[in-house]
Amino acid sequence: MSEIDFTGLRDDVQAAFRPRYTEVVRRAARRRTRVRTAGVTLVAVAAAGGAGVAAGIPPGGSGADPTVTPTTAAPRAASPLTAIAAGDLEHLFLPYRECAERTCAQMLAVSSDRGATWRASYLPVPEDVIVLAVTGHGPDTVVVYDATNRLFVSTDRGRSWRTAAPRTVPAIPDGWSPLPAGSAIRAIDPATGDVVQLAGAPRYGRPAASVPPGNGLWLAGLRYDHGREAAVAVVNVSHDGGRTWVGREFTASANGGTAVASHDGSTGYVVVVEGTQARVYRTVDGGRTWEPSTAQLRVHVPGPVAAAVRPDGTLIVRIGSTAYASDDRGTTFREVADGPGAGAVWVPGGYVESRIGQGAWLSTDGREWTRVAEPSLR
Amino acid sequence: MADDEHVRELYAASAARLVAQLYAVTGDFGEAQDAVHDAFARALARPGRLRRVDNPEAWLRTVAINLARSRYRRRALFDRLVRTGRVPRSPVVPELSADRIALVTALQRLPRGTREAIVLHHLADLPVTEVADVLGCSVSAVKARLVRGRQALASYLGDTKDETKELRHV
Repeated sequence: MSEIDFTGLRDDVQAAFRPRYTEVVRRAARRRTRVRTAGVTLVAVAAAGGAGVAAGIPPGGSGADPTVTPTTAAPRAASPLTAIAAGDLEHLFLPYRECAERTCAQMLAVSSDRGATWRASYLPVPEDVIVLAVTGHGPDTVVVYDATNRLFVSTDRGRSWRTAAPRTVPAIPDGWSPLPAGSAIRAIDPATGDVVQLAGAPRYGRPAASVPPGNGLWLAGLRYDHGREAAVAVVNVSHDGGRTWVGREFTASANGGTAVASHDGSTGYVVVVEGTQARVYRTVDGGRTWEPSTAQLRVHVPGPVAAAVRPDGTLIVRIGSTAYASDDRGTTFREVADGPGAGAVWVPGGYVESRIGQGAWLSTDGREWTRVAEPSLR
Repeated sequence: MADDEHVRELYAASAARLVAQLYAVTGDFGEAQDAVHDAFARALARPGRLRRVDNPEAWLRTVAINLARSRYRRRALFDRLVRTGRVPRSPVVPELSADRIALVTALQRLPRGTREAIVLHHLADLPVTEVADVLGCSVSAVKARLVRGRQALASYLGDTKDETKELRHV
């Protein structure tokens, strides 16, 4: 019986959670109102910080801070299943669920013009199978992940599909895109839709999605020891497609998180939460050696950790709903308005960051972002 | 530390953990968050009560699980009462990889008592004796549920041989 990865499930769900203490405050206030007699006024409790990732426009700041330009908002799609995925800056994909009377179908909305127009097609899974995620790889290739661990691949933007049959390889071929797999590292050839699975991959972490192809595989994950009394951030980097790895471990806290980022494949950063502070470590030799930064980032409300390095070398970090930027290779940080950046995914032509129900943000340089709202499809 | 501040600190430290556990129990991320937020809301509405418990996180977990159970019972009753024609309810699924959701889906196929034992022991890291206390059963019953549960999960998650085949065109 192969090992069931309960730890990985726990880590990933925790990372997906967005703290909303204001929701607790609201519900508590409503509860107090219900148990009080008529005539007593409602007590308002000051809301705490950490209300999740903001989707709005940050206040005007320095030119180095990312700016967000909203498009004319389109009505939301009914029941999106995931956040918008992008094959590149023009081609977007959004799985959603459509119900009529007693029948529901899982659909895929496809746009080839940055979300200006969309068309719909059926997804190739039975109705009782849950679509978990969709990823795009170039203008034509789409991958759908279902709850039985199967992959469905289309190389014509969702018009036709086939079930993937991953073959195990010692290294990911050049030009193939890593897939957001769990314990296994898989990659796809955007041209043919062929999928491979890496043999002997490190156990913790998945390839950082902001790293451009050709600049290595950068993984970071948490390993819990002693029944969750302690945690270790495990970082692994490969510059030969996963054939060999250089690894390092950093002390972390059991309720924290970690993220790794690089742009050029040589200079990289690891962010590790230790209690109410986060440490940053830097490498300049592609992960072979690391040195700690003197900076410590305050963790206002624990939450998912994300990090990305822009093409101009700026490091963007987000912990929970607080964002930081560093222009001096991680030596000093300033708090910046929360917005797209730390969770950016590299795509041909630039970057994409998206949130389920909130649309997507597109950028060519990681600094200036344009928002795309989710479509309304009938 | 003021009681309200204590609840907020506790939320910062444990909310994500509890949501992960409740999600594994309920299979619905939205319901998990609802149950956890309602548990914290009960604590915040009467913050002094947490001062009287030895393990506030365990108290919150128990409250959240009980809330999720009662909601499940109410919904099951409602589903039986409503005539056919009701559209199946879609669970809220967070942004997770395929194998994570596969595990959660497989957990929902287990009997509830077995599922809760698996979650409390493997996700909440509670020792078997504590799981037995929470579930109100014997240690031997918990051990049996864990063995059966893991075997069933392994069976549900067993490797499938994929065959390349053409699917329908649209």
